[in-house]
Amino acid sequence: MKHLAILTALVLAVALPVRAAGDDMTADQILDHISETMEPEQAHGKVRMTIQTTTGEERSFLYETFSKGSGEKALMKYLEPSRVKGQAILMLNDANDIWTWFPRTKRVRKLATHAKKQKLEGSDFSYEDMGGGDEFREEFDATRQGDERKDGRLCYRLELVRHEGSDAGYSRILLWVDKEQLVPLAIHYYHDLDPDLWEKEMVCSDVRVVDGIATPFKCVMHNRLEGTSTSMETVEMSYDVDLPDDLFTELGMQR
Amino acid sequence: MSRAVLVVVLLVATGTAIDVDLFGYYEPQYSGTYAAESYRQLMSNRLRVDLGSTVVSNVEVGADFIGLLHHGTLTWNLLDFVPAAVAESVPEMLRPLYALPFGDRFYLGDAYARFALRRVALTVGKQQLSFGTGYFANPTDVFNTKDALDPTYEQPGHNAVRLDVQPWNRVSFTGLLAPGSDWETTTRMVRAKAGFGRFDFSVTGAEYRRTMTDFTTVDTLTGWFPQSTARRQMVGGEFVGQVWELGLWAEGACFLPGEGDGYYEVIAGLDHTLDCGLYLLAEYHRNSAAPADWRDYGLNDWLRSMLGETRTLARDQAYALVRYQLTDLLGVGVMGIASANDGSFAVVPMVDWNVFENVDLTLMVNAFIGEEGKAYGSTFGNGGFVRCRVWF
Repeated sequence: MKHLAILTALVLAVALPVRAAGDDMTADQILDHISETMEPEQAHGKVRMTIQTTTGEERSFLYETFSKGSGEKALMKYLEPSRVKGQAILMLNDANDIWTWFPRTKRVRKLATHAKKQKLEGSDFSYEDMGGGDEFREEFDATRQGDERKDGRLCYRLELVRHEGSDAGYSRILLWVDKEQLVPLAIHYYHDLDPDLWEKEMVCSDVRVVDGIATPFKCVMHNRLEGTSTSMETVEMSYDVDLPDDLFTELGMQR
Repeated sequence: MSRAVLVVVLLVATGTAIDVDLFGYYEPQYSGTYAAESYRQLMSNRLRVDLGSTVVSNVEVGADFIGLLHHGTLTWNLLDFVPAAVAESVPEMLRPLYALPFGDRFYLGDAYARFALRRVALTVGKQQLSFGTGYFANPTDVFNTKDALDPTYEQPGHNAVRLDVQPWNRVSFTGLLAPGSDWETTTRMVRAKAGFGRFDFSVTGAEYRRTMTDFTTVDTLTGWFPQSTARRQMVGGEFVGQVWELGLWAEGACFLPGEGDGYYEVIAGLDHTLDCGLYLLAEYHRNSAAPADWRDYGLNDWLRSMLGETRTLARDQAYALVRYQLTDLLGVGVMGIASANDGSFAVVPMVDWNVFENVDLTLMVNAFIGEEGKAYGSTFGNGGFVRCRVWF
């Protein structure tokens, strides 16, 4: 469950309109820009998620994703592997209302949002990992640090420190944002209880412009504590689509 | 048998010849039970081949063929699992009638066509019909009776014509006819569902034919237990939603008096996932048709509940489920089922392991802890199963 919600957020969150950057941008301005533009109005794509377990085994899932209203509505359908093929998840109201569809039993089940905490299929992402700009702004204090290169690209480096009293799951986050395309290329997550304990690292690459929007086609989350990783590769993506509202209904899940 | 093989060959040949999806699973299972001072084991091989096509616009055709082979102890006498005091009421010469055979079966589990427009869908044929928000039992589901020890397992298909209309988002209406031999034996059902805020609500009305078996007498003409059918009317309702981070649901059905006594069933539950990922679920289920005092459980009560003619043996039951994803691929859990009327309960530990990409292994153990004669008493013995499912 969780990884699907995250998947939508990931696919959409890191897809940012190409814009000219300015050297004089503050940390908050960079985050504001991400907040304003992180979710395109509509999107349709296919994403392959591959989980590498502690024993080195791999599990791969292929999803078809639809979203509308800047992520307010999202529908995800499993295409592979066989054991989950046809299952669908509908998320409305920014994933606060969730329904699942099981094709073999033809059953629709409404889930409470706590289901997002469950570690399903062994994914290394947590829901808030990809919460994006809004969550960064609301839950953290951001400061801009010296610019650095990541994967050969000049990046803004931001440090985000959790607000007093915030219930965010990380005490501190380091964020590298491509200065030219304003796409996050790397995010370091520090442990909930220890701001010096580096827990996870997400690296995004293969940035392509799709329908005028810069989109990393590959993101990998490494869990440094558990020795596992999860990669998400965009197979297809389109933002210039007109998705009907009735796609995001119980009947739409079953199509 | 040869006919079954022919069907599979035809399915595969058809699937490869035209634009048809072929998928399914193979499921071997080993079950063992120690009861009545003997250990019995039953093995099964289940093959499900699904066929699906959407080659015609707005039309989905689906079917699944199921082949089920059993070996091991192929005949289980139900009287071995009821209290001795109850079983003793059956004359020795009639005991063979209570034997439940596990034969090989080959059949079409589902075969249907679904015609769908954007907000309307019509499904015709043998199809899955699942209703209700309850996890362990669904009082508003007049088609199926869940096995509380394995509540998520697939249910049989039912011949029906089903119309779903969704005029607005989060508002839907369902009309359903499951034809019998005539109009009197045809099940009719209507259902309306609407979502408000964080909740979904439904109301359901159904008229159906309910068959009950009298296991206390034998029809001398047929040499079998007499069965009676009665026309029943059910009105029910349900909701599911959440308050803060607590999932809540309830489902109730009132079976109106008519050709049988009136009674009601209600189930209510809640669930939550802790920050550490531990999933917790609890449900309470009341079936007013069941005896309130365990000393009143008769032969019919025991056998009808075992065979799914009634949903429960005890009037009040409590269910609990705890699950945790131990590693990337390994989940563990335990179910508890208790009769609130007599204090007996069953504990069911389970393990799920995704062995390979499309291979799942499930281990489930059941221990019935209660005095003989109570709903989850020792008469059921202790046992479990190992089930492997290989998807293709």
